Amino acid sequence: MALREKSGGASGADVASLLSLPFLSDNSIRSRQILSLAKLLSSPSSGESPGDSGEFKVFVLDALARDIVAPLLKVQDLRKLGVTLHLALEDASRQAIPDVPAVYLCAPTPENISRIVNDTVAGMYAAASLNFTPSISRVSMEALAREMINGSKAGGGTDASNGTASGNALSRVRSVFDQYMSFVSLEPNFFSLRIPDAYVAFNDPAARDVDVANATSRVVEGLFSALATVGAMPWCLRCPRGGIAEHVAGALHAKLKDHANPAKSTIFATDDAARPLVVILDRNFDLGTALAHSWDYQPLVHDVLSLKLNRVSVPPSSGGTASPKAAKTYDLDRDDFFWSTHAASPFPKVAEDVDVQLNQYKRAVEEISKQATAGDDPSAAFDANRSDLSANTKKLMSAVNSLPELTARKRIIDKHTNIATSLLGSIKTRSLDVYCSVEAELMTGKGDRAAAAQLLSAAVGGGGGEGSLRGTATDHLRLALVHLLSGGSGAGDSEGVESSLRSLGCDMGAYLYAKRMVSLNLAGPAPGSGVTGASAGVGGMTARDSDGNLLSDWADKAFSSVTKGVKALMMSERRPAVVDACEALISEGASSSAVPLGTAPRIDVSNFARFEPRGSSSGTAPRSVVVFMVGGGCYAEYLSLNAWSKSVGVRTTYGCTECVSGGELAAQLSVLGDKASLK
Amino acid sequence: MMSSTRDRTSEFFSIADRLGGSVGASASGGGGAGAGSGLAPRGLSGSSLGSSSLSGAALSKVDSSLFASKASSIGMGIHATSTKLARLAALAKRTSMFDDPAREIAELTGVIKQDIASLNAAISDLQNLSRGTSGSNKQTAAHGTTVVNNLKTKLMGAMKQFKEVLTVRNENLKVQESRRSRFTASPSKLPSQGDGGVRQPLLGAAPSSSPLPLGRYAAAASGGGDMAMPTPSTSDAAAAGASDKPPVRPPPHWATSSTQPTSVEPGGGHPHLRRRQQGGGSSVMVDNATGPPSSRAPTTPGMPPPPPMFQSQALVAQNSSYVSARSEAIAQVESTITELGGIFSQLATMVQEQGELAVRIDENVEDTLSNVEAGQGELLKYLDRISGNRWLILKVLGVVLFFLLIFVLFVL
Repeated sequence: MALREKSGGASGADVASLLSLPFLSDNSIRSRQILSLAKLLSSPSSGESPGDSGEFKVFVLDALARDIVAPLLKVQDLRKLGVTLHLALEDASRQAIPDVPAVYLCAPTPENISRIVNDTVAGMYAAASLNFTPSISRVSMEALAREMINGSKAGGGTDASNGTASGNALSRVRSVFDQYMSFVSLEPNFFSLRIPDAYVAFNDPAARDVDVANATSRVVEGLFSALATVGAMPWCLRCPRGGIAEHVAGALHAKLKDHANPAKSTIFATDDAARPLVVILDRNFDLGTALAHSWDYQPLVHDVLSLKLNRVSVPPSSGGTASPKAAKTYDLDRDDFFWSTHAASPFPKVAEDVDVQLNQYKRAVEEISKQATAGDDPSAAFDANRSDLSANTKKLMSAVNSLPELTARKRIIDKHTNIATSLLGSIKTRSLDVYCSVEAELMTGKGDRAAAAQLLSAAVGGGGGEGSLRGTATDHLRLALVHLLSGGSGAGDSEGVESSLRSLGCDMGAYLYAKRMVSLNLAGPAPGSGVTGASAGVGGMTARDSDGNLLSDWADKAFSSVTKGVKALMMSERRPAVVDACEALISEGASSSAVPLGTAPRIDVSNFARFEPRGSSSGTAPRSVVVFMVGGGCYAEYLSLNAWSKSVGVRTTYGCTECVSGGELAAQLSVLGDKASLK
Repeated sequence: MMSSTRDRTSEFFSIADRLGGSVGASASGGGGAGAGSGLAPRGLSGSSLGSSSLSGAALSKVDSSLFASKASSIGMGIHATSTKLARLAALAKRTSMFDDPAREIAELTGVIKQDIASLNAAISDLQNLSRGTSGSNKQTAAHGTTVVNNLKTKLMGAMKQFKEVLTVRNENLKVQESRRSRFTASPSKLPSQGDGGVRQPLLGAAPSSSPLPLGRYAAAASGGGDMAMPTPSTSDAAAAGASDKPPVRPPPHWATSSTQPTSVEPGGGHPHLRRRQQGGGSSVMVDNATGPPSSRAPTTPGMPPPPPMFQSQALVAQNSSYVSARSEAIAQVESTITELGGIFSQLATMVQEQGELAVRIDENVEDTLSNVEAGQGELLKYLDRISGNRWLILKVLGVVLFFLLIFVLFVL
């Protein structure tokens, strides 16, 4: 183990220096995935170190693999790893490049396998390294081998001249690897399996068993991949009893057990210290958080501008230049210093900091131009001897060298200016600030429920008046859903909301579905009904007061129309139920008080089932937690988990079947409502 | 960490073997060969090359394999050059004044310079090759272009590094010069005596790369020649410097005959300097005639330091040779830098601006998608227009028919 760790670290450093990504040593799931990618691209080339790009090769990917690689490695990074071309496996118009080896990365689906077979039989590339994102089954492998042999025979029979080239399709296969990579790392500690509409798939009352089994196996594949990349056998799996989560956990448990014996499987390290606690939750555990509007930068960008694979597309400003500009796309990733510091900041802070950064940049530019002019200052030249002159030249050189860095900075600042402007436009037109504050109050359980209902009914009258609720039908629906979910099963004040929703022309399927769930008590702990919920909220409020001041300052300065809403938005801190569950579970694991805990756990741990894939282990508290949300996760949960893990000192990794925004989840709820024929 | 993958190559080939055994002997043979070559990829490419040359028809394949081998040899060449560069960098970073590896550096610089020039030529050759061979196949062409660009970028990087190393070297040399001149400048501030005046004009014509320190230094040396070394530490350093170069050490007859030293000293090729030495030698000889007799005693290593007068005599020659070597080294480095600048700009014009640097791999996909959507939209619009026309035609036809009917009715 120690040896392996060492070699891994060394090659990690190599790759990090090659790609100039200094963060690669942080051991997060994203870094590990990047390292595996770099390894698969640099591997079997004649035993050189992974840092060496070795030979040139082409990289052939299927759609999922492309999504996996896209947020991790840019074209430039691939070039450094020796990849000259990246091609889509599905692309039928790929042309033969006979003297280059190809590296395939794809899922082992029958279509992909037949495509690979066709490539190798036709001799498209000099050699093929096959890498499968989840593991390839024995059956698929046999099919692959058989088709290759048959293909070669057929090729040799029909075309004699080509016989020598195609006769050895098998000999072109250089290696076959399971990469356990079928998940997309979006953030250092955040992965998504990119399984769309998973919530529908798991909650559909009309679903056949086969469909559910398929969905489950896909989730388990992905989750297993992620755990394999984390590299440690889970300490234990925890999940709420009697639901989808338990179903998934059971299947994962069975799969993990196959690999539990370190003699048979080398995928997982035997190190006890690194073993994570895996918490599997169902979206129904906490629907409200995913539906509510958020006021932090990253969730806001996700919600309003539909951030996808760390890329956002900003529509052209409607403030009308004559020429219709195309929407601009921006990457929000590791290269973006502003994004990495401000993803979790509330929006007003972001807007303010964009300004600060802009001023800093302007100052730096002035500095440089001053230096540049000082170089040919005539008064300085008066007694300028040699050394002085060379010093000036040096200064000028350093100024010139710092220019590219500055322009890159400027580009990032411009990008965020644009994004923030666009966000602000949406906030104004949809009065998102009002939604945020009302929903936050509702969810901490101290809001005025009647006021929220009134807001909705006022919106019926048409969003003309000042202070009334604007926004799309989805926004209304989301507020109503949060209102419903926060009320618990006993709340009887939903009629008014329901009728105003109807008259607002919202799709009632989602609301009625949620209502039925609430009445069946399926929708998880209603945060408002929690006893200690309010206290945490109050504590958060005082902590954020300073932010509130800054925020109102900024708002008064620039955007008076939003001021009222923003001031009302007292930024009440509330913790999603996910964080509570983690805290409760980890403190339960810690019989010795290794984890400092402020408050009594609010989640009853006894309702959680427990799976231990490698027998029971010692009573030490796990130092890392993997949280997985079946049915869709959201950035708000990721950010709060991140904040929590920093305060507690436990590494958390958050995963989900798909990263859904509130609107998308509401749409999935409507689909379910329609399927259940609720109208 | 690296355990998150599972190698199933052998499993695959065993399956293939089993299946191949039942299907046909030739296929199983292929499988076996595959298993072998899977372990040795180089051998594989070699065998594919051999088979294609046997088939004969695939001429382009031979060409492209030529491309591949050329590209890889260039890559290896660049790699070798950068290891040499690393060595050179290590040498150049040495700031010690006395064991300066000037010769080694000069040799290495020359070798690297040659390497870079030949690599540069090879890359442009490769570029022509890739342009010539891949006429129809777009992706092969793209591959070729990328390979060439990649190699160019690498070479660029190596050259940048080379230039940096040379700059560092130059800086170091200059710093050493200034340090030396500082050390030895203090005596020169004192009024120099007669012979100093004679030397100055000669020095004015001395190497132009760094006249100032050289001049000052020589003046200092002359000052030292006439006066005793001012501080013991300086004399020690000078003695150490003198003991580094053995040819200058046996000076007894040196002091008596002024013609000897020119042939002995290593870097004394410069006429001005040589003359200066001779002049210095003769002037000192005059001094020596009046000096104490002990100064003529031969000095051997390990003996107590010679009297100041004699030592300063040795120092003059030593220093001057040192100075000339230095000035030459500086000139050499500078000329190399300018030469390099030439190649640099040449290469820079060859390397297109690689705007794709920060591009993500799904970029094109989205572009394609939007293009397809736009195309579809256009088609729909066209369809609309066409169907509009069709309606118009039908209407016109109807009207015509109607009139025809009326006409027929009226006529009848």
